[in-house]
Formats: sequence, structure tokens, C-alpha cells
Amino acid sequence: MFKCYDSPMSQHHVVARFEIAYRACLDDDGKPIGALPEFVEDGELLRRMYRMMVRARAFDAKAVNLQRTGKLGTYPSCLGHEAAHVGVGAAMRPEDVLFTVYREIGTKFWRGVGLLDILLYWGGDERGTLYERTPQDFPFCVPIGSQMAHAAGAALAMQIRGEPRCALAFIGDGGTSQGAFYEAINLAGVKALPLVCVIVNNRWAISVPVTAQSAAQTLAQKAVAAGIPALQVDGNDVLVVYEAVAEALARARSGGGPTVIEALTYRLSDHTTSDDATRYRSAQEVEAARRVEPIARMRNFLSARGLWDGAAEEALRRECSDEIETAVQQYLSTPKQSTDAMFDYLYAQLPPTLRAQREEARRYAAPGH
Amino acid sequence: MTVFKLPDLGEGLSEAEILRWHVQVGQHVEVDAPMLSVETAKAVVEVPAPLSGTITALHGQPGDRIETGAPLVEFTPDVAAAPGGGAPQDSGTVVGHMPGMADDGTAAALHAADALAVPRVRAVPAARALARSLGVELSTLSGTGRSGLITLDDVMAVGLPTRTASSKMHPAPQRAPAGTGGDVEVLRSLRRAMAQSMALSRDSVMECSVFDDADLHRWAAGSDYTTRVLRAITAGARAEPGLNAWYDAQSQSRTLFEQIDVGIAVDTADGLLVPVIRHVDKRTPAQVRDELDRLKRTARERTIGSEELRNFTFMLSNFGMMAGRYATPVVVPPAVAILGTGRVRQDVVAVDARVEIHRRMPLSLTFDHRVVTGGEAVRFLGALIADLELPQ
Repeated sequence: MFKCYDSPMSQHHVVARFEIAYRACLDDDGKPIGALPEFVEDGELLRRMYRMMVRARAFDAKAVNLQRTGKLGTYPSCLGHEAAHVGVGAAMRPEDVLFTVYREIGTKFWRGVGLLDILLYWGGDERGTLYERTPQDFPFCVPIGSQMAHAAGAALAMQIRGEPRCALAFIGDGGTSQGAFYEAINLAGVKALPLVCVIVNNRWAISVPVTAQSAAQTLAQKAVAAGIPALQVDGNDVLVVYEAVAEALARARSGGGPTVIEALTYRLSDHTTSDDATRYRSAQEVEAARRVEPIARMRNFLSARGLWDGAAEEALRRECSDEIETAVQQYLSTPKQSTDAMFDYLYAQLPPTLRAQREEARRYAAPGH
Repeated sequence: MTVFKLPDLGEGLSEAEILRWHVQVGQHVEVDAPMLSVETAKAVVEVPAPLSGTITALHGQPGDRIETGAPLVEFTPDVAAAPGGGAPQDSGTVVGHMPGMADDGTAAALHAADALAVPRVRAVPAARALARSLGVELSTLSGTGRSGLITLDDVMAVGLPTRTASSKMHPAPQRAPAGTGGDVEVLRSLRRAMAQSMALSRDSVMECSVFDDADLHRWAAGSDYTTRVLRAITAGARAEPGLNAWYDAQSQSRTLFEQIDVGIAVDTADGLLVPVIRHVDKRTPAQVRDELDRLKRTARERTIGSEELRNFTFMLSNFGMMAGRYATPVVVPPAVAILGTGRVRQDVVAVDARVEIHRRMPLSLTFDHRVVTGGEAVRFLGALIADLELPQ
């Protein structure tokens, strides 16, 4: 809360107060905390969310191994973020527009992006961002925080056109220190834009812990300054992520303006394959976070409700493994783009200097490359 | 057989060091099973098996540095390669290369054409940075990386004198003309370090020298030259701290030191060594003498610790012990000044209206004019001479 500075010389009264609610549906073991939201009666939805989390994790492990064997470029693992990512994807409508950072494969998979697309992207092939099912979604956005400005702009366009659609933007804990984050939520607040911002607070911005990132008690409360409703949720609880995001999207879609949701999770992996997190954080901290990871608790919850069993688990693992193997083979056998691709999409009319470069590149491109 | 080559495990890494093998020759491995741990410049990482198969050869022992793209593991795969993908065969198409990356042949052709158009040195960025900091001229190196790329190792082989490098990393030495009988000696160790640090000094320091003499006529009998000179350096530094300092050209910053640590040039059979006598300002003359004797002895025996050869704040060369009157001694960065003392001799001097014979010590002070002014240098020298001319 705000500190009041008492002065015997003047009168004062409080002009603003705020509080940030924290919500969770499941405890660390997957047992319900109090009454559950209505959508949990939809067993198929719950199973789909669980399947997608497992699929994201299995793909993620393979992607890291592909990088380690020289078949993929630098790759940022999503290990531990699966509930935060999948819960958001499940709550969105197909016509909404997604703005991600670079880890959110669970959200992208839910929206129909293929495993092959993700492999192509991290293999350096832009064709991995074509997203046939949701072509309006933006590609991964590596410059930290910059996707917030894109999302606010898209939300403004939707508002001007009077479309019942929403922009959903992810950002990390470190990203909330960027100017673009504040600028975007400020505009969203002033214009009541249909924008939902999900802060995935995984406690580490590469090697900077969130305690060194901000002195605020929560990152959600940064929304207070923009006049936006905000809440914090257990980001390892896919049910509460889905519930909070669905509510926020419904409000935004009906003209109720933006929301900021802080999802608390933990990056169980290195920052990327170029990082070594053991150099800056303790094994005990990681182990403690592993005990509350999202997939085991959702499996416990589903099993307790009779929606999941060992046979289903085994079938899912096999299915994921086959699907991943197929995608990897497709990826490795995808013909390379011609060097023209570097030149052909930036200008309606290619300037003479670039035309000369394109010719030069063609001369050096060996057959088959 | 399939050869797995070490991939770039980070972003533009040129090599990795093997820490541990988790597998051995003859062992069967499943795809994605851990094969070995390596340490790169960035991280310790586990390298998994790229395919399922039986290992037929491992290249390298723990501690070996493996270049990116060099063979690491050989397999007999369980299944033949699927057409258009899967486990690649001998051609080495697979591993260590990103799909879409040109293979070595293409790259070489491209670079050869490049070289004709604009002569330039190809080096990894880290090697460029290291070469700059060591004062190594990249165009004098022949790269051992892919397509002649200059790697960190190539720079370190010439830049770091203690490293023993394989001969393939160096251009062949120039031979003496036939019949002259001269033997080619590739510089090693101390002499190579001297070559490097002198080149670095030449390329960075703006040297300016000033000469004078100290009159030792009033000295008490039995005075110790070197301890007196060290005391005089302290007096000079107290009067003008700007010469007991370091200069960092990159950040254009200088550091003035309260403590006076003097590097003393010692001539050894292997070459020049510069042991450092610390806290010259805090020691009694007897302690200075003891420490000097110890440093010179351990330097000549080559038992001196490397930490005793680093971080001097000022340097002294008392070359006059042998011969020579004045010199232009060379400043070794990051220090900014060096004093040379020439041979003490009997000089004819004018004293009031008389001629007398006095013992005098020739002094040569070189300073880095980028960071030390001429005024500071001569004030330092004046205070140094005043102290040196005291009877005791």
C-alpha cells in the first residue's frame, strides 16, 4: 500500500488505493482450492489442455537435443511454462491476434502452428512464421518488450474498425522494465483498448532475478499506473490461467478495456541453449520449483476426476513421439530457400544496388543450396 | 559409418573443451541419450546422440579442445539413412551444420572469390578482439579454422608466450642465406613475450624521453645504488603522482596509485624478466635490498611466481650496471613511465667558479605523453634528482 506522509502542518487524505488479487484453482498437488469454475465440467477441454502441455514439453526436449547436435539454431526452452502458455491459447478465439515473446510454443501449438513451423523458425527459415491457420498472429518477437507496441497498435485498429476481437500480448518479467511495456499499457488504458497482457513471471530475465528487476511487490501492479485492472495468478495452474484470461478477453471484447495478468511460474531450463543457468542460481532453488511444476499437478487433477489414466498417458507419449519424429524428418528434408528470399519481400520495386546483390548471391549459390 | 562433428553449441563458438565422455567405443546408444559433457566459452552442455547406433570411435580426451566442425564421434547407425533425411551417411552432411548452411566446399569457393575482390583477413570476432588487445597483426597469421578462418587459438599461439602451439599454426620462419651458417631460432617464452609487449608499446604509447644527471658527490661511503634510486622514485612519485599510474586507452581513464610497486628489468640467459618489488615506499632500505636480492635470484633461477611479474606501477631499468650512459627506455602499458639509470662515472663539473670531479649518475626518463605532460615528467625528475643527491 502507499505510505502516507503525515505532516502536522497540513491536512491530507488518501486519493488512491489499490490492491492486487491472487488467484489459483489447484494446489501444488493438483487438489482443488475451494469451488472450481464451471468450465471444469468440460472434460474434453481439460484433456486437450493437458495433452497440449505434454506435447509442448516433449517437443521442447527434442528441440534442445537438435540444437546440441547441430541441427537447430539457438533455442529458448519453455520448460515449466506450459500451463501459462497453453492456458492462454485455450482461452483465445481463433480471430484474436497473438503477440508472443519467443518461448510460447504451447500457445502457438494451440492456435494451429505446426511443430515443423517452430523447427523451421529456430533453424533460421522464415517460412516457419507463415502460420496458415492464424496468419494474423505475429511471429516470435526477440527484442524484449517491443511486441507490446505492436499489440497496442493492433488493438487500436480493432477498436477503430469496431471488430469484436482482442489482441493478446505476452511479456516476461524483465520485459516489464522496458519503456514499450509502459507506453503500450498507458495507451491501452487511455483508449480502453481490447488488449490483454499476460506477464509470464518466470523469476529470471536471463541471469537477473526478479528481485533485482523491480522493487514492486507484484509486476501486476504496474498496470495500476495505467488505470488498468490487474491480477496475479498461479501460472503453473492451467485452470486459473484459462479462467483469468477468458474473463479478461470477454471483457475486452465487449468494450470493457484492457487487463494485465501476471502469471507466476518458473523457468526450469537455461535461458536458451547458449546459457548455463547453474552459473547464477542454486540447484536447491530449481529443485523446489520443479516440485510445483504444472504438468504433474494437472495429471493428478485429471486422474482424481477419472479423466486420465496410465494407458491414456502412454498413448499420448507415443503419439507425441511419433508426431515429433515426423516433424523432425520433414524439417531436415525441407528444401532450402533460394537466396532470392533475402531480397524479394522488402520492396515492391527492388533498388538497383539490391538487384545487383541478388544477382551476386545467385552466382555464389551452389546448385542445391 | 556416420561421423558426428562438433556443432556450434552456442552462437558463433569456434571450439569446445571435452569434460567427460559418458559413452565408450563399442557401446550402443539411443538417439538423444547423453554422450559427453563439453565446456564452451559460454556454458557446460551435454551433447546427446544424434541417432541410434553403435559407437565405433571417439575423438579426443577430457581436457582436449575440439574445433567446431571437427569429427567427434563415429557411429554405425542402426538403420540406413532415410532418403531425403534421417541419419546421414559418410558424406558428413549431417551433423555440425545447420540445414541451409553451405558446406565447406561452397564456403571455400565463396571466400576464395572474396579474397580476390577485396583482400581481407577472415577471423572470428573473438579472435579479432584478442588480437587487438595483444597487439597481434591478424594479417601475419595463417588461420587453421575452416577455409583459413583465424581462430582464437591461432591468435593465442603467437600472443600468449607460455602456450606451446603446434608448428602448423605458424608461418615457416625465413631461412638464412645458404652458406652463412646462421641457425633459425623461433622465439620462445621470454623473448617472444618481449617481442609482443614491445610491439604493443610501439603501437600504442606516445613516448617522450628526458635526460639529466644526478650528482652523487655528497653520498656517504657504501651507499647502495639501487635502494637509493628506488627511494628517489618514491620521492618523485610523491611530488608528481601522475607518473606512478596506469592508463587505459579504451576507456581513456588513468589510475593514480598511492602504493609504489616498481618493476625492475632483470637480464637473464633466457631473456628479459621484470619482477616487481611491492610497496617500495613502505620498506626500509635494508628490506628493499633483501627483497631485491630475492627477486633477482628467483628471476634468474626462473622459480619466481607469475604473480610477482605482474602489475607494476612504475618501471626501472638500471642498465648502467653494465654499460651505457643514456637510453630511451620503453614504457610498457598500462604503466606510463620508466626510468633508466646509466653507468655512474667521474665527470668534470662546474662548481661555482671552480672545476671539480664528481661522480654522477646519468638518468633517462621515458613517459607516455598521451597521459603525462612534459611539466609533470620534469617535476617528477626534479624531485627524484633532489632526493638522489642527498648525502644519505
